[in-house]
Amino acid sequence: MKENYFPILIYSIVVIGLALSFLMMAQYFGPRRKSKQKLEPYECGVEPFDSHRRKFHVKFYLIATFFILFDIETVFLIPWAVTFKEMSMIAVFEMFFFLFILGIGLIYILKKRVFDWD
Amino acid sequence: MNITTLNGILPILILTGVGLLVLLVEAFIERDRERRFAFILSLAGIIATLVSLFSQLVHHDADLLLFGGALIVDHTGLAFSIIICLGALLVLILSHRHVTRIHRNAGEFYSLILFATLGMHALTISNDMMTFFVSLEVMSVAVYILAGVNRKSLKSNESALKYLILGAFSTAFLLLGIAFVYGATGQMGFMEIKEALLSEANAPFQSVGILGLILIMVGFIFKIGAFPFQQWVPDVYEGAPSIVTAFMATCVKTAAFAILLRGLFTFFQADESGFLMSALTVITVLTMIFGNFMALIQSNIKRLIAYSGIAHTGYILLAILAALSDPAKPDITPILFYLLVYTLMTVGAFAVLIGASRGGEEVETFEDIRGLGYKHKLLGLFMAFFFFSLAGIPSTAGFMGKFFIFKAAISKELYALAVIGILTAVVSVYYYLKIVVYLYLKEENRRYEKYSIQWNYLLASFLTFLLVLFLGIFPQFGFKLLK
Repeated sequence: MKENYFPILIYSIVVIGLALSFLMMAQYFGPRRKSKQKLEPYECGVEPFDSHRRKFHVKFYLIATFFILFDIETVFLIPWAVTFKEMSMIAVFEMFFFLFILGIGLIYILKKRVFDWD
Repeated sequence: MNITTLNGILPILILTGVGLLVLLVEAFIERDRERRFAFILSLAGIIATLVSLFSQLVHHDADLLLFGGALIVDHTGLAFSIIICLGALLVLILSHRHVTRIHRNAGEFYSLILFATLGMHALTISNDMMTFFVSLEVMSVAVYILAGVNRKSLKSNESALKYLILGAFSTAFLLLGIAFVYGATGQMGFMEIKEALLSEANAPFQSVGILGLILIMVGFIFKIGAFPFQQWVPDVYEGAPSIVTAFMATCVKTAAFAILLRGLFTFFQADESGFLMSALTVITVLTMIFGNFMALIQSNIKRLIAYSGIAHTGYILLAILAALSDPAKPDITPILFYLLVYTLMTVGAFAVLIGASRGGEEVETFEDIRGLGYKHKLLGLFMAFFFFSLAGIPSTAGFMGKFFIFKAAISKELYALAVIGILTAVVSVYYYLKIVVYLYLKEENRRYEKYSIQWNYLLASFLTFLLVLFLGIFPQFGFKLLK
């Protein structure tokens, strides 16, 4: 058993070693000539016109949270959709129960007008 | 899915259904009526849960394994769940009207309490690592939000953030431990893991499994707030609204003890080196000493109750040690009795503290309760009684709880531990009585000049008062209930 993990150990040592050596080589051998253009943040070739440290509307965070929630729903739905034919009716019932709970959550956030932007 | 299964998960179904319903009530019914409606609904939900738990306990003859061993409906789990539901019921009664002072939407608060209770019940009957972890998170996430439910108060926000970050940290330990155990045994169920750890074929991985168990125990010790991981307790308890503190100090702690007990009883025999046991002994001693001595120097009542909660955790750990020293026939009734009594008297003390708070101002320092016993004779009497009980003065249930724990420890020949426990309990009398002294200090306190107490605080504190007194005089009824 333990021998099986030996290649993984070698692999991780090589990966860490390679990454470190690249970084160190760039640090010691690479020339460094700074200029204004080089130090600017890159914005798709357009000249930056604003500071990147801006305040975001707090709703963005809420949207992101809800995205994760319904993303996870998909994670559960896909394996269920692939295998539910082999399982009994209970599997169908259970998944709809799960969707029902999530649906109530969705109704709640809709009623709380989380998606209204004003 | 048959009738037995449905009956086994009935409390879970009730709590889920009512929790969701309360959310919908909050979303669809306008503010003024919503509050009362949500309150009655959640009260009915908790009472229904309590009734179904009782009927399960009464009709209980054999342990019921559900969903392929993911849940186990056994006597211990049910008894813990009943204590938890009782605590939640009292907290709900207390929160009526009070909740709108700390949060705009009462429905949110009630449904969070219900969901947290759901997580706790699932935790007490969980029988594999997956169910255990998911239900622990259901409970914890709800309580993280509850700690910060007062959004306008900086302290409440601080407490929620602290609890969230430290809680996430302890969860990381727990998950790492579960991963190690799974790696060492390839099993998820508690029983299967125990068998795998004890089997000869698995010997090379035994040390990895034990390491995993130790990491899991770190997570547990954080949740119950025992010695090396207790620093979050006073900060979080102080910042959170009193009503939430009452919930955390009683229900969350009971649920964490339930799963700690199940874990220890399943796994401690697998640890042949005896490391878990000796670690637990050291933790118990330090928790008792630390909690009591730190409580001596507190000037904030909520912090004082937090440190005294740590000390009580130490006493319960002592009872667990006593039960573990006789693995063939473990007697866990002292643990259950103590947790029941601790829940009752702590909620009672908080009921009086919340009842004495005016408007948004909570009772914080000793000065705030100065002379309360003269202004409100009944409130003062209850408060003095609850603190006598916490200190363990005879004729209160707190005394009986401590008595049974020390008796169990002595009969299992844990003399040194029992002596330390009794000595620290003597120390604790000082700070509990300090509160009683302030209650009856004769000086003007304008705080309570024109002030009438609401019925729900009186009801909650009166109920707990009766129960604590009753269990203090006739403890055998409590034993019969829990046995």
